[in-house]
Amino acid sequence: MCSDIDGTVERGGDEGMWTVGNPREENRGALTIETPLLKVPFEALRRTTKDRKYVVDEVHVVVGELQKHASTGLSREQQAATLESLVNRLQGLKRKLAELSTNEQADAQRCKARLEHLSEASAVGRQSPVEWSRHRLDRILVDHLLRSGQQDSALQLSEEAGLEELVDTHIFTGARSIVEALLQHDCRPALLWTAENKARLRKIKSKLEFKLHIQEFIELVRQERMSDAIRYAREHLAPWASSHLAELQRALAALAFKAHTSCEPYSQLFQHSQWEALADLFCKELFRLNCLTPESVLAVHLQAGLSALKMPQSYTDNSSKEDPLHLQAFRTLAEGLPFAKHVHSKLVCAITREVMDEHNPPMVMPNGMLYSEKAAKQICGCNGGQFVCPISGAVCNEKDLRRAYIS
Amino acid sequence: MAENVQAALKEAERVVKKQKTCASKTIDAVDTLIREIAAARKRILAEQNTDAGSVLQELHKKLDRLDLTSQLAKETKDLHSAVNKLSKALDKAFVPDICKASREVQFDKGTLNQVIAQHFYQTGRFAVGDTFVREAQIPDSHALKEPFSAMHEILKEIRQHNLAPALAWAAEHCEELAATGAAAFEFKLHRLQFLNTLQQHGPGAALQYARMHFDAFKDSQMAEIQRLMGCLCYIKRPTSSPYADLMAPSQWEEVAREFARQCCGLMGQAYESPLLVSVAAGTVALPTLLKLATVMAGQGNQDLKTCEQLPVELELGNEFVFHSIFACPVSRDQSSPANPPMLLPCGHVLCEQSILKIAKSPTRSFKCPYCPVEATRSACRQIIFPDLQ
Repeated sequence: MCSDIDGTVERGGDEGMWTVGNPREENRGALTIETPLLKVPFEALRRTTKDRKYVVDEVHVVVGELQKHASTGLSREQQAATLESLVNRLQGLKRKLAELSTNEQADAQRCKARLEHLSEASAVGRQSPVEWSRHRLDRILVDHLLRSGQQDSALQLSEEAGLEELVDTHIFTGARSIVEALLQHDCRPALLWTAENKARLRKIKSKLEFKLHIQEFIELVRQERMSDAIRYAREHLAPWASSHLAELQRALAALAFKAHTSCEPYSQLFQHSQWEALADLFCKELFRLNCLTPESVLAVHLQAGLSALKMPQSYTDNSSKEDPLHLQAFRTLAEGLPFAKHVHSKLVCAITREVMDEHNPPMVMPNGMLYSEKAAKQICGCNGGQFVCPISGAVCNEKDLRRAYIS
Repeated sequence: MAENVQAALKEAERVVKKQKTCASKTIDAVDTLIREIAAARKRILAEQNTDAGSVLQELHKKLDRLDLTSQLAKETKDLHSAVNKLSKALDKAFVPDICKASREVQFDKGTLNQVIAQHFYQTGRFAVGDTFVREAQIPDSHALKEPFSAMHEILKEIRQHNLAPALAWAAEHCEELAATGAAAFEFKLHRLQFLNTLQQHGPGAALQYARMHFDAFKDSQMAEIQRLMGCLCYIKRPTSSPYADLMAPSQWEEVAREFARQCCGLMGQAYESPLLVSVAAGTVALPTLLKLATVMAGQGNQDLKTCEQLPVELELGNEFVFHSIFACPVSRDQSSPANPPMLLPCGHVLCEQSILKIAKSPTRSFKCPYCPVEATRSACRQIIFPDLQ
């Protein structure tokens, strides 16, 4: 049936328009992209169990010391005192263990609850991607709102939709006040936070603490408190010399320029936008520390979705209003994203809104307008065998409609 | 895929259980240690005539017998191995990184916020929407909220089985509804109201309702009206009657959905929240895009982050088809106003450019690439795919 002309015809017959993969099959991958949902509690759990190991090792050390202690010839009181100090140490370790257990339990519970949720929800996922997303979107939005600092909305939505176990609100407790303080030119809450998370921040090679100290130093220079600035630099900046020498030197050189300098790169250090950069950096490090994705899950999905929907036809004036890209706001969002690729034809009937296939094939009017057979039968049925084109108003006989074969 | 999630869930359950025993046993062991050492200390201080060394030796013997340290080590190790197993199961069930296919484009914050606010209002989350609008400082939020608040008021009433506001709305907009070919919607409301009256107040009241309201629809909906009258006879045994479908409670939800669709249509809004549709499309597209990013990372000649068009076709499903797409089976190009689709006399469709290539001149006949029928260029007719409104 398919003959090759000039080698230009590729055989497309067998897997033509009507048999393009089963979308439900494709949808099986939907669960695999729930990575962020599990990553956050699981990494926290893994961290805590590691900490538990350190504490248990400490207990072993104490027991070891007790054994050594037996062989030394100490007085009765000294013996008692040493035992007491061991008891005290053990009590400290016990407190730590209890605290770790609470966190461990919470994170393990979160992992379990989220997996339970996914395995229950996967039944919905098989039905329709829109239904599946209706549910997911709420928790994706909570994540987005938390990241953009709209905490109240996030909490309200999470409560209304019953998402407490599925969203990471606990990570963001206190984050907003730190960001707000930074935007009001106050480093203290952020510095407190870096001190609390010092070891973990060092592990991910975070520059946040260094940057905060630089900012504090610059503020002292701005107020022309030079000796304070130098003292501050000695105390807080010097330890970073080994890793960030160039930046450190540049900051110290600012001592010679003062706040109103126009000399680059020193003037930049005094700019107020540095505070916004600090707030951004804080958020980034907060996400990194807790294994949150660097971009919000909403942004990732929107990018993929808008690309997949974007086609030249979306940009015509009378395109379908159900198409998100019909709306100016979504066109703005889709800027800079690639268009979707289509190598298979897919025809939608303008009357029935159904996608045509071999059971409901396309029919062409003498004036070239194409509708589905179902629509043609509907209209001809009402009009006694006459087909009236609802758009051009043209009329033709039912038998003048010609079937088109689209492969 | 669901099996992998199930497997991970089993591991997570194991971790939860293991964590519980590990935590309690560890605390117990430490408690015992503390108790024994404290007791030994007390004895050393209290029993002046016992040798301190022997007390300590007793303590050691006791601790050795209890074997607390190896118990501690075992519990910790068990928990660790449970966590590691969960880790492996999670790796199997989920992709490592969902950002791999994303570009460095930053969405415009204002636009995104507006879209989110509209989504909240459209889906009826007014309280959240109000909080969000305040927090995100969205200007002119009233315009976003207003059209949907009236709609959701009526929807709420429908869900409480009160059709009066919906009927009033339909009567008010009956001309606009007729213009969009949805005149039947008003009848659907009356129909449900009739059935409701029948169930609540009996056949007499229902018949009266029918007399009052069905007259206007007697031309277009006669068959349905007759069926409704028929169901009056079966009021005593509604479940076993041939009209059982009319009494199904799902009718209310259907009417609510239909109302939302009509109402959004008249407002010029999409029925489904566009944010939801976009995210749903993303949900379907993302697994393929991520796979693609992995494959393409090894090659380097094409880059997902800079291309103008995605390198593969994504099959989203029919609910995401908003436009007719015609791809020429010969050239594989999408049709465009400059290269329109043409219908050959045999019924096969090709793009104009492909026909120009195959047919050497306007008058000479050529063979359709898909069947033996001969055609000339002048016998081909341009096709138009009317767009959905």
